[in-house]
This record gives sequence, structure tokens and C-alpha cells, in this order.
Amino acid sequence: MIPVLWKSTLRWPLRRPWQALLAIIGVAMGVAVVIAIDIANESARRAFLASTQAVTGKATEQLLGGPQGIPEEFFVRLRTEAGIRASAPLIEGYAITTQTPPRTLTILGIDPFSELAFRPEMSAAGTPIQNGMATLLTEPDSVLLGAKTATALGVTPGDRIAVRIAGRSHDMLVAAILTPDGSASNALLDDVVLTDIGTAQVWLQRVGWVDRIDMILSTDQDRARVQAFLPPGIRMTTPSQRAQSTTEMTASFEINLNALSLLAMVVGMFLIYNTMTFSVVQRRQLLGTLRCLGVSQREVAGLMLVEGSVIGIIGTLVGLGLGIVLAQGLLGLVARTINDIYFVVNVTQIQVGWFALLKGTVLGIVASFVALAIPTLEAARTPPRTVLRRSSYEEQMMRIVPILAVVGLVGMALGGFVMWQGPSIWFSYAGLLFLTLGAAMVTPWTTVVLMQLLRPVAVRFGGLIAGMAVRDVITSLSRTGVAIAALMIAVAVTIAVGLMVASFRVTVVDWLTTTIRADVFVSAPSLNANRLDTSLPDGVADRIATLPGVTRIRRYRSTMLPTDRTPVLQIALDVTPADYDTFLWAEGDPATIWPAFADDAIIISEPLALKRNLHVGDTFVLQTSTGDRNVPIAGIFYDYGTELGVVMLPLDRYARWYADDSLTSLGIYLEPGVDPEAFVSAVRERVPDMALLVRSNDSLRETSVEVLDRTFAITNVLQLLATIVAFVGILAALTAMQLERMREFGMLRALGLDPRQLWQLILTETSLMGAVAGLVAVPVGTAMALALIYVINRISFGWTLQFAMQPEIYLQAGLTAIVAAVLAGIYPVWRIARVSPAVALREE
Amino acid sequence: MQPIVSLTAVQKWYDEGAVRRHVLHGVDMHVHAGERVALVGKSGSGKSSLLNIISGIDGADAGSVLVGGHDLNGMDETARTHFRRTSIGFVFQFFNLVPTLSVLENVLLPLELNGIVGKPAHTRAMALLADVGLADRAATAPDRLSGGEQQRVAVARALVHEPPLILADEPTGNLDSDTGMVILQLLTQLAQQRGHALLMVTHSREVAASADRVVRIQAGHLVADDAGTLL
Repeated sequence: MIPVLWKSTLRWPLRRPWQALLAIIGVAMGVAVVIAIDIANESARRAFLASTQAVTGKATEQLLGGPQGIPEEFFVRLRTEAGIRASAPLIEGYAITTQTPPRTLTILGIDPFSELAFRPEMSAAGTPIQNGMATLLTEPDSVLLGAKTATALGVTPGDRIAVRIAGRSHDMLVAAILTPDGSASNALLDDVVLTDIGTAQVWLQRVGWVDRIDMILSTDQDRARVQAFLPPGIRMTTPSQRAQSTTEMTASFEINLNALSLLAMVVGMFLIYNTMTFSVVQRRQLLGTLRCLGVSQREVAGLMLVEGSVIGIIGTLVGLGLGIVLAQGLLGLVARTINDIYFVVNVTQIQVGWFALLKGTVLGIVASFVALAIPTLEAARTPPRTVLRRSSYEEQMMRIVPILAVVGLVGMALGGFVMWQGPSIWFSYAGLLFLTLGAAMVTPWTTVVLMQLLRPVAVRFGGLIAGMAVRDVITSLSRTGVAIAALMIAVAVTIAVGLMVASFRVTVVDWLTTTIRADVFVSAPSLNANRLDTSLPDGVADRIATLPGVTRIRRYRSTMLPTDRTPVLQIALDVTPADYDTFLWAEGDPATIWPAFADDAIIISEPLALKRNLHVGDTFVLQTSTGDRNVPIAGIFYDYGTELGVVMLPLDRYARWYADDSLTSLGIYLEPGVDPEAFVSAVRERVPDMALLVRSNDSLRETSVEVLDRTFAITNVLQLLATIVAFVGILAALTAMQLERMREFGMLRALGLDPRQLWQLILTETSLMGAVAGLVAVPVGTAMALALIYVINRISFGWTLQFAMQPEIYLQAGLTAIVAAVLAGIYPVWRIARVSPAVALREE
Repeated sequence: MQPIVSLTAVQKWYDEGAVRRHVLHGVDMHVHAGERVALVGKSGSGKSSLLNIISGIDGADAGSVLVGGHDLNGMDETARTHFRRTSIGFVFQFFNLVPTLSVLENVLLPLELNGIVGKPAHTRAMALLADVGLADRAATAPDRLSGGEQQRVAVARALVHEPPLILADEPTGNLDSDTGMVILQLLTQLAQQRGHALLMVTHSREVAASADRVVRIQAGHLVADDAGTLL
């Protein structure tokens, strides 16, 4: 390549620095959103795996029991009768400190005698571990902490930490601080407290039970021996299998976040395309001159690609930095959603992995290249004779527009087909992408048709200037078409995500109204907002039943049920004929469901049925304390509480199969006229010694909707970011377009147009563009919403949502389009109106 | 002597829907080395089409086009680009200087396209800028120059790589008459001194008068040269 030739193009962005800057911002924001989501997800996953490793230690195998865990006497038998000496019991739970802000600590109840082989880092030389271990056995409520956790909590040995565990207050006594060698070991102790298993059992109200037994088994014979020794209800697994099945729970959530971030990238790409098309269109004359002077097509393409790559690389680098900052902000939202819906994870610091950075870099540069390819090829291929004449380019555009529309319609149809027929979620997203790009291709044609229809009306009511504004939109279609399409996509995404969230909300609120019927609900406080799996203290139901005004108490026992894939929520409950209409059925006939349910069947939620392709009449394996059972499915009910899936069975059968008669929540029905809020106070007075979560029907519904809104907080943030990306791009495109016409406006000023008329002309034109974008975005956004609601949500989460048509979403989106377009016109018109016609006429 | 431009029975047409519109009907024309030819005719008579065909910017639909011994009809786009790079110098009505390059860099561009770089290129470009009277404006951006000055730079750019043929499309069309005359003299003089053939498309009598020969085109036919010979 020739240096002077390079200069001719590389200096172009310097002549229009703000345009180059906006292109860089477009790329940077696209990249930032993608890597921020990646880093936030990855940080949460790593934090979870680190905490898993902390509680796993060197174990090669683990024994797990039913919902209650494993009876502790089994551990004694395992060591004495089966001779498995390398085994250690463990109980795990969570405590929340009462300090501000509260901190979640993982309680690890261990047997100090059998533990050291599993956690060598805790017995590292120079640590006071031996003394600490002794203290655990002698001092009540004593704990060991990692040095980092102790510093964070501001405690030293002998201090006490006030916490709440399962709703009750406790004071932990810091027995010793562990300072193991190596940062990895230190990291494993982050926010972990070690205590004697007996203390933990009391705190967690699990006396007589352990969560699991860790083992170090070195031979297959040992494994076989243990397997043969296991009674029904206790199973053997490996720590990695267990961790994997837990992290897989969030797969759909992660895919959806990634898809949303990619959507931001697509909007970003469209804007890069928009900016680069502009950049090419603006210098068609220059490119034509160069071609006349003997610069080859390949050299022209090379010049444009190098320039675009420079913008792409700078944008990507800025995006990587921005993404890391954004990730820190998003981490809290991601972690909260995981905690609300899936499992407990305590993460405050992002961990930036190379993969995320590499992915961001590749995406940024590839996206810039793809976006550049079309305008570049177009510029290089066009004969110099045509390049020199702008009008010929517009004529060419007008010829292409109908063809583009047909291709776009075919793309949309193809997108719809792929979405409906595709075998996986990625096909659905690919379909959505086709639909979006297809709609963008149809937009210029729609613009021409709408403007042609509007022109006579505009001339009649707005005079010549309004007519000129309408005509200008068509005569500059090479520029206006792309800008309108980009704005349309941004607005359509806003409509689609808005409608999806609204539909979800409406569906869930309806569902809550149907399913939550009791007047007051009682449960034990839990770390997980959506799951009530902490047992209620014994006797609560009986004490509440004696309160005046109670007509009936419906009892529930919720547990996480391990399966051959991800765990599911198992709810055992009382069902009487009065409760039948609290279920909405996706499959099955209530007339046959209830007799079967009372007999030996279970009912399952729609997400579980869809994810595992289960139907009424199929069977589902329940791992009960009395062995695995193949249980028939009587019905499939709609459920929006958890995408993990729910299995329901009668409470009395659960007690038999799992040898567990504890309860996790109560639904209390009151006599007519009893005030639920007054009854809530009465319950608290009746059981003052027990920390209970007592909520009225209204308050529970409000909480559920709050959790729902929190879940969508990150969606809304991503949508906002996509809109900002789009807005920046539109501003760039429209501003560039208007500034480029300085000479034309100068000529109009010279002919006698006053600044006010110029304002009128330009703002009419940009608002027309905004209006067209908004108008086209309505059907496109609705189609995208339908795809998100009926295809993508269903495949990802297994939810059937009702479509909620909300006019305010359309109104808001339409206004956004017009406001964006009008704002984009303000700067150029302000600048042009200030420049004298003579200067404007001299502008290149 | 072998002509530098030799057109035989050249036709050009455009299909507009079902209608075929002919813009050149079997044009025969020859331009010899060092000769200055003015191509005159009304708007739409086919002057620019003919110029585009001779420069290789556009192709003929029928007939033979030989320029500097090259058969343009047999060339693909890449070969035609290289032909323009080496054999043609352009002067446009609207100057068409590269706005992102300085005056000197605009003149250096054709040299670098032909592989002439460094000191020799710089010396040659500066010499030519001195010939057109703009040596002191070498570092200036084109948009700082007047129209006449811009066209001088365009003349220097057209001549610097010493192409056998200079094509000028209305070279004075965008200038006042005095400036136009100065540019015209400069162009014809420099072309003659260096032995370049010069083909100028023009409406201007003054421009036509400065040529060795005037070729008139009407509705796509060459109708006469200045001797009044019917072609």
C-alpha cells in the first residue's frame, strides 16, 4: 500500500472527529455490554465453585441423603462396620451478620477429629489450627475464620459475631483465625466459618442429621464396598458432579443474558454499519477520483477496511475497559437473581477471565469488519463513472429498494420458520436475528411508500417546506434508509423487551391471584427469596391453629430434590377439594388428576414437563429415603415460581416416603371478617420465641412481584444499554447526514430561507424519519415480543406466558423514536443556522 | 506515426427498460502524440461518454478502442485501472483534489501509484508545482486555495507521472474567464513542452481555439473537424 494513499483515507476521521468518536462509542458500548455480562456470570460461577471447593476439600466421593440429610448414626456405622476411616460428616448452612451491610457467611459444621485429612490447608504449619480445633469442642458457639473474612468483619480471637441463622439470633465466638499458606487456600475460606458439627446442628435446627459425608476412596473395591453398604435413600456422588448439576441450573439464565448482550452487539453492529456506510457515501466523490487516478478496487477496499479496523480496534479496547467497569455494576444484579431463583452465591468482586476479554476482542473486531464489508465492497465495485455522480447512486438505491424489501420479507419468513421449527434455543435466537435484519431491509421501501403517500398531504397543509422535507427523505435514501432502519431496530427491541416483561408480570400476577388463596402465610426465614426450604420449628402449626379466627391450616414441605439432571423443587402439601381451583392445568383433566394424586401419582410443573419432555401418564423418578420410586404423572400445572421445575405430592405420602414430618410453610385460612394484618400480629404474639416470616396474602403477593421485578432488573439494564447504543448511533448518523448538506442549506439560505424556515425544514425531516422508524417498529417489535414470549421463553424456561398488549409501551417507544430523531436534528440546524450562506456554500 | 488514441466504429448505448438509447454511433477518431484536440458539442451529445471510454472509466459496447497501444476492450477492470494509472492524466471541471491530502501530496499521489517514491518523487512534484506557480503552497490544504489555484494543482497532478495522454473535462468550466485562460495556457503549454497528447472536452470557444484540431460531436456522431471535413 502506498503511504500517500493511506494518508488520504486515514485523515478522513480526523476531518470529522466527532463522527469517528461516535463510531468508536458504538463499538465500545456493544463490546462492553457483551463482556460485562460474561464477566459477571463467570465471576458468580467461580465464586460458587470456590465455595463448593471450600466445603468439599480433598473428598473424592460424597454421600447424600434425602431432604433431611443423613442420620448421623449412619456415619458411625460407615466408619465402624464398613471400615471407611477416611470419611467426615458435614453440615452446611448460612448465617447473615447483623452488621450493616449484612454479610452472608457459609457455616461449615465439621467433625474436628475426622476433618484434617480433608482440609490440609487448615492444618498448615504455623497456624493455630490445633488450638482452634480444641476450642471448637470446648467453647460453645465457637467458630474458626479465614484471615480475610476476619479482617472484613473486623474481628479477632475472643470477639463475638452477631448473626441470624434460620431466623434466630446467635453470637458466634471467634476461637481462632486461620492463616493457611497460599492464596488459593485463603480464597477457599472467604466468608466461611468453621464450627463443630454439634454446634451447627443446633444452630441449623438439624440435631441428629448431617448434610453429607465426605470420603476419600482410592480404589474401585472401596467404592463397591460403600455402594453395597448404602441403605435406600442414601446415594454416592462425586463433588464435581454435584457442583456441575448446581451450576447447570443457571444455564438458561446465562444463555438469556448472553443473548440479550448479543442483541446489544447486533444493535451496535448495525450502527457501525450505519456509520461506515455514511462514511463511504460521504466520500464517494473522493473514492471516484482515486479510481480515476488509477487506484484499484482492491486498494479502495483495503483503505476502507484499514480505517474501519482502526475504529474497530480502538472501540474494542475502550469497550474492554468499559466492560470491566460495567461488570462490577452488573455483578450485584446477576448475583441477586441467582440468589433469588437458583442457589446461594456470595460474590462481591469480579474476576476478569482471559476468555471474556478474547471474546469481546474478537466480537468487536469481527463485528466492525462484517459491518464494514457491505459498504466497502459496494464502494470498491461501483465503476468510477457512477461513483462520481451522487444522483446515480440514489437512482441505484431506488432500484435496489424493492429487491431489498423482497429479500427482507424472505428473511423474515425464514426467521419465523427457523424459530418455530428449530431444535434448540440457538436456532430461536438465529431466527430472531433473521427476523430483525429482514425487517431492517424492508424499512427503506416502507419509507418510500409512506413518504409518497404523505407528500401531497404535507404540501397541502405544510406548504412547500414540508413538501421539501418529505421529498428529501426519499432523495437521500442511501443515508436516510439506513438511519431509519437502525432507529427502527432500536425502538423495536425496546417494544419487544417491554412487552415481554409486561406479559410476564401480568401472567405471574394472574397466577399468584389463582394460586395464593390463604389469608396468611407462615414460613421460616430463608436466604433464597423464591424457595422456602428452611424447616419451621416443631409445634408451630398446632400453636397457630388454636388462635381465634382460623378455619383451616394448609401445610407445606418444600425441599430440593436431586435428580439425574438438575435438582428440582419438591413440594409436599395438603390438598382438599377446596384447593382444586388453585391450580391451572397445562395438561390433564382435573376429574382424573385428583383421584390419581390422592392415590399414588404426582403432579409436575410446566417448565419441568417441557424441559424433560414429560406428559401425563409418564413416570418420574423420585429419590426417596426408602429408595428410588417411579411415580406416575397425573397432571401438569402452570407454574411461574421457578424454572427449575416443581414436583408436588400429598404431604402424608411424602412423610411416609421420606421419613420426614417437618414443615416449611403454612397457609392459614381465616373466618370471614378477620383482618389478616391483625392476625399476623396475633401470630407473632403467639410464637414470640420463634423467628418466623408471617405475611398476609397481599404482602406475599407484593413480595413475589418484587422478586419478579428484581429478576427483570438486569433485563431492563441491558435494554437501556442497547437503547443508549442505538441512540448514540442515530445521533451520529442523522447529525452527519444533516451536516453533510451544509452546502445545500447554504444555497437555500441564499435563496431566501430564513433560519426559522431552516429549522422547520430540518426538524420536519428528522421527525418524519423518527415517525417512520417508530411506525415500522410497532409491528416488528410486536413480532419480536411474540417470538420472545411464545418461543424463546418457552424453550429457555418452559413458561407459557399470556401476551399483554400495553399501549403505553408503544407510545413510549414511538416518542423515543421521534425525540431521538428530533434531538439529532437540533445540533446541525443550530450550527447551520449560525453559518452565513456564503460560508455554507463554500463547504466541501 | 502511430496515433496515441485510435477509435474505430465505437458504439455506446444504455438500456433504459425496454428502450435502448444510443449515445455514440460508430465513432472513428485518432489523436496523435503531442497533438492538442478539442472535443466540442452540445450537452448530451456524447462528449463525456467518449472521454470515459478513452480513459477506460467506461467500456464501449462495440468497436475498437486503442489507447497508447492498449486495446481497452480486451481489458478487465484491474487492467484498465493500471492503464489509467500509467497512461492517463485527468483534469476535472470541479478539480476533484483529495481534500485530506496537502497540495504536494495530491501531486505525489500519481507518482506513488506508479511506484515512484522518496526523493525523486518529491523533486519531480516540487518542480511541477513550481511550473504551475504553487511551490510556496506545497503544504497547504486544497480547501485553502482559490478555484484557479486548485485547478493548477490538478494540472500538476495530471502531468506529474508523464502520461502519454491528458484528458481534460471542461478544465475552465468552473473558473472565471481570465483565470480560465491562464489555466488553459498553462495546460496546453506544459502538455506541448512534454510531448503529451491533450484531449479537451469543452463548450468554450477560447479553449477550442487553443487546440491544434477541433472535433465536433453531435447526437453521438462525429460530424466534423476544424477543417470542415465530414467524418
